[in-house]
Amino acid sequence: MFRAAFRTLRSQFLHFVMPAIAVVLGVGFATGSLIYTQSLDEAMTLATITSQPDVSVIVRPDASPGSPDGPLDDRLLDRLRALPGAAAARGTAEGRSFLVGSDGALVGSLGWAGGVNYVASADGRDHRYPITAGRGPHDRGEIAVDRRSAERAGYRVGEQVRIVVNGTARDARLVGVFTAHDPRLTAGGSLTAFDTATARRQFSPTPDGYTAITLTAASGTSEEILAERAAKLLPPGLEAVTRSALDAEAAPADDKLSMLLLGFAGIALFVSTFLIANTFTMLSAARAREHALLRAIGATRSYVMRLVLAEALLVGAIASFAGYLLGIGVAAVLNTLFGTTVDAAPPLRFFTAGPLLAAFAVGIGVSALSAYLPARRASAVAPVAALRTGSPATPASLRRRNAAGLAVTALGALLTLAAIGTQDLLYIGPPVLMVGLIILTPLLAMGLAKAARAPLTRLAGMRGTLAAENARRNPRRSGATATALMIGFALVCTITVGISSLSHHAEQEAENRMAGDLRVTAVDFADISADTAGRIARLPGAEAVTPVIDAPIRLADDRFLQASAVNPAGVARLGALTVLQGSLEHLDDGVAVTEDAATAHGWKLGSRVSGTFARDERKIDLPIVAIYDGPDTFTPALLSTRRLPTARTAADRPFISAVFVKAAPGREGALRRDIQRALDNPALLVQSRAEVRQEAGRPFVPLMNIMYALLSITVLIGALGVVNTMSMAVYERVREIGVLRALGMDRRRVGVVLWLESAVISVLGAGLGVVVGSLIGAAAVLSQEGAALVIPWTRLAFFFAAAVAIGVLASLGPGSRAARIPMLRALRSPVE
Amino acid sequence: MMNQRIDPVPSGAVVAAADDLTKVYGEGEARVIALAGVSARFRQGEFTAIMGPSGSGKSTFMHCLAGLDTPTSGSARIGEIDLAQLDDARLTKVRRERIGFIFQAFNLLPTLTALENITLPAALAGQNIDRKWLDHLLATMGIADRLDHRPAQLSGGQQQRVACARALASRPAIVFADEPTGNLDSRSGAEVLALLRSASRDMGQTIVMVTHDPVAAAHADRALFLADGRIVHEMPRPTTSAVLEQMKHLDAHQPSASL
Ligand SMILES: Nc1ncnc2c1ncn2[C@@H]1O[C@H](COP(=O)(O)OP(=O)(O)O)[C@@H](O)[C@H]1O
Ligand SMILES: [Mg+2]
Repeated sequence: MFRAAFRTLRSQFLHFVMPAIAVVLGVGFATGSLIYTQSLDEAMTLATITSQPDVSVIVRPDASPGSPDGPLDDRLLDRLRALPGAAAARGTAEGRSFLVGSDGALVGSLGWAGGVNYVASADGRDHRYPITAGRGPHDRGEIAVDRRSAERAGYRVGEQVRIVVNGTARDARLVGVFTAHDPRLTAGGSLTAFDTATARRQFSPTPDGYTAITLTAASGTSEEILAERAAKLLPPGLEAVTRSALDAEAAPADDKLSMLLLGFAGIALFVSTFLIANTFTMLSAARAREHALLRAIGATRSYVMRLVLAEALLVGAIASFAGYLLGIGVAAVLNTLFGTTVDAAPPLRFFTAGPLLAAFAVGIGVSALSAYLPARRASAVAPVAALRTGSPATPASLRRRNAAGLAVTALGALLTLAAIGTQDLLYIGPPVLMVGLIILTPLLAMGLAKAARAPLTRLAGMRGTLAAENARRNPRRSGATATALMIGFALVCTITVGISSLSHHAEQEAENRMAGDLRVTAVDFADISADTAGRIARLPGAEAVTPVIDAPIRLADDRFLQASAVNPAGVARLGALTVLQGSLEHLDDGVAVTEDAATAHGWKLGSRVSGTFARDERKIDLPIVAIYDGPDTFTPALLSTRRLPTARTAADRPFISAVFVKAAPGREGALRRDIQRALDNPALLVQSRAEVRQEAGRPFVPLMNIMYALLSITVLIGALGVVNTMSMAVYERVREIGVLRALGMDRRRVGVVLWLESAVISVLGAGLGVVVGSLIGAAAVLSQEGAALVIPWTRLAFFFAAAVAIGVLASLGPGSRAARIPMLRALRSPVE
Repeated sequence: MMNQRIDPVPSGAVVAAADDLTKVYGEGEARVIALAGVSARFRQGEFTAIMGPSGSGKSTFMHCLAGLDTPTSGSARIGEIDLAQLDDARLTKVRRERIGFIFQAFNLLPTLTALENITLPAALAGQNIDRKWLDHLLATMGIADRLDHRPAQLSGGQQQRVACARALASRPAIVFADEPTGNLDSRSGAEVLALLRSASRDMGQTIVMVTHDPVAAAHADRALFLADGRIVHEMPRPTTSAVLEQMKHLDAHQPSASL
């Protein structure tokens, strides 16, 4: 069986090239994603497990809201250390700390920039952070950093370096460089070690506290027992967690990413099924007589079916192998595409059972599945067909398929429309719509070809007529080819419309939140120090300055008021608010609320707002002194920063989301430079109104580009589908082409006929894809509350043109092959 | 004017000619001499049958003369044009403007209607067909009521008649027919032969027909006999029995030929 299949494969080698490449691409994409995400996972897990090998139990605040009833302080540390079965205990104080490189930019992946305390044991060293050069830090002016970050930052031991902790940039002397097994480093972040006293001051929520206490179990004591014993000592709000539980907690690297990648790989594979099915359908038709002969001499139906399926399996297996090799390359590309920084990319593990199995399962599965229907059709050939001459029987009528297609398409369109009101339908409507269109493509292909006949004939004479006729002579194949293009371009357009709208929405929103001339914000994961607004206010040309500090209040009726604390005088002079009733003058002793909030809570000027601050449950009870309207940043309620509970430690400070500044007329540029110079902190951004808007839209550009990059595989497979179909057309029409050449059609025109046909199919695929994709994107946008639909017409038009161009380009190869067909051989060719 | 055609050659003028035509296929062991020096003239309005056993070089001779294949040496002329001097593009143009073809396997384009097939050569050449002439032709061919049908909806005989109309429609200088009756039953075959006969006699169409059927050859004005790539005999006004006799004679001299 397989030998026969192998022989077919060898003799029909060229026919299998395109479908095989499609499978190779799909499998490569899928295994590349698997290899990459698995390597990432394993690297993270390994780093988690090998980090801090002496930790058996960790004591930390539990997930309950509010601060714990007792502090994580030295007294608790001593009591835990004294527990039976505890060999050692260590107080850790960790938080965020950024390293500024010698080029002035922050180093490494900001989400993973950590600050830790260096705890010297008896021998003067901290075994978690083995020093490779210099020594551990001793006081506030000294730090040690991990080796890779030191290299990336361009610092050597002994140099002054700049760091950002708690929103403030300062200088420190680099006294040591260490290596460490730490998931933060694996993920591309940096570690900065401080002496314990400094770390506690910076990171601990209480002045003399820690952020966690770790215990080492004595030999003979299990983690669980030690954790149990520790738990008994702990006040409510603290918990003791075993090491194994902690490791299990370490989230797998990025589940969303792997789902996304596999999703796109799945789409690419789905599109390749159309190519494979087209090829096997064509071959089954071309070999109908051969199959009939087999049946006539006694082969069973299932034998013929297995024969065809065996070919598909072989193609799948070979393509899977090649796909796996490609996957290794894809993983490397993904590693650089998504790896936070190139040199922090995890080592890839190329040969693991999971991806290897997946590659073969997917490759062979997809091939066999897509060849199933053609194989069944091949096996259904009647033995007498072997004796009949002339063309094979015409394929079954499309009537039932068309009826089903119309019904499903209509249903999908309705569901997609309905999704505008009911977001959940977004997961059902568009897929149903796509399936409907896929079923309908043969009808659409026939319709379009019929409609295109007259204009094409006018445009290109006999060539146009032939092209239009050829496009509709095998509507199933034309439809499947258009489908492969359609899916890729539909996704591209959905994403284009969706992300463009999101981006525009974000820009609009940022604009709505802006006040004054300049805004100071922290980069992701960093924050703004409490004295920032004060320092800016002292600069010449700063007319009005106010911080905006989150101060959510839990009202007496248990509802939340998302209030912000501001500098009343600053806000008033910023001129961003319209006071409707009362005045901001007495905001130091009261609360201002928006009209909406007043209505929602039934407040009037003079009503009392009473409740507790959500952060630390301190009481607040103030009268409403003003009712106003203003940008989103300042809604729905304002109070004075003076009313905020004072922070006890650096780590306990309130969260400042932004500082808004109004410049004296004509001083904006100068003030902006002054602010940057005064703060000297690369973790803070100083932006004008226009930049704020831009900044809000900025993250969408790489997002869109990554989506395009991922979808390019699917589009490429769609293009291969056109090449495949056109090659098959040439193969099947060798004799016709010979006749045309004999009757006087020159070589160039033979190519023109083919690319006009290809253009018809591409216009169908591209048109459907762009229209349906844009509609789905629009439905998705409209289903989001408050989002405005933005349709980037030029870009969509470009995609349409690109799709048509791809289709036409794809026909050039087969076209030139057709033109080179030796005429006499063509005339003698037995293929009809 | 690129589509201009030469004026009809006076009756009896030479429309096509071969001079010492040779064709060699392959090299070394696989070397086959298909044509070993063939010379012949074809005059205006003349209906010539080319006869010979299988493998004698009939098709090769026709292909070389019709600009479908290039001879190894010697010359093939259509009118005053020496085909050997032409590149592919010019050959294509000559075929388009001066030559009509009728094939054994009909070779109609399945996607076009009968009428579109008939006008295809003119469309390729960018010419308009004389409507009156076309109507006359369609009436003669007996396919006037089948013009909107696709080839698949026509019988073999009807298809070959459409193919004949296609070859004659643009009044080419010469029509080549390769075994035009080979795929037809005897009645349809006879109809097609009668049509060719009348095209030559009544319309002055020059026709060269390759066949190995003595009955077919009997419709021609003369028969040329090929054997082993050479013309071995010329027979004016052939009859079925005379041709049969000649063929027997040839077969006797060619023990290697198998039918
Ligand atoms: N393309 C080719 N390559 C090699 N040999 C060929 C080719 N075409 C024809 N021949 C050989 O040339 C000889 C003449 O062939 P052909 O003209 O087809 O004969 P006929 O039409 O009289 O049967 C035969 O021996 C045939 O095998
Ligand atoms: Mg022959």
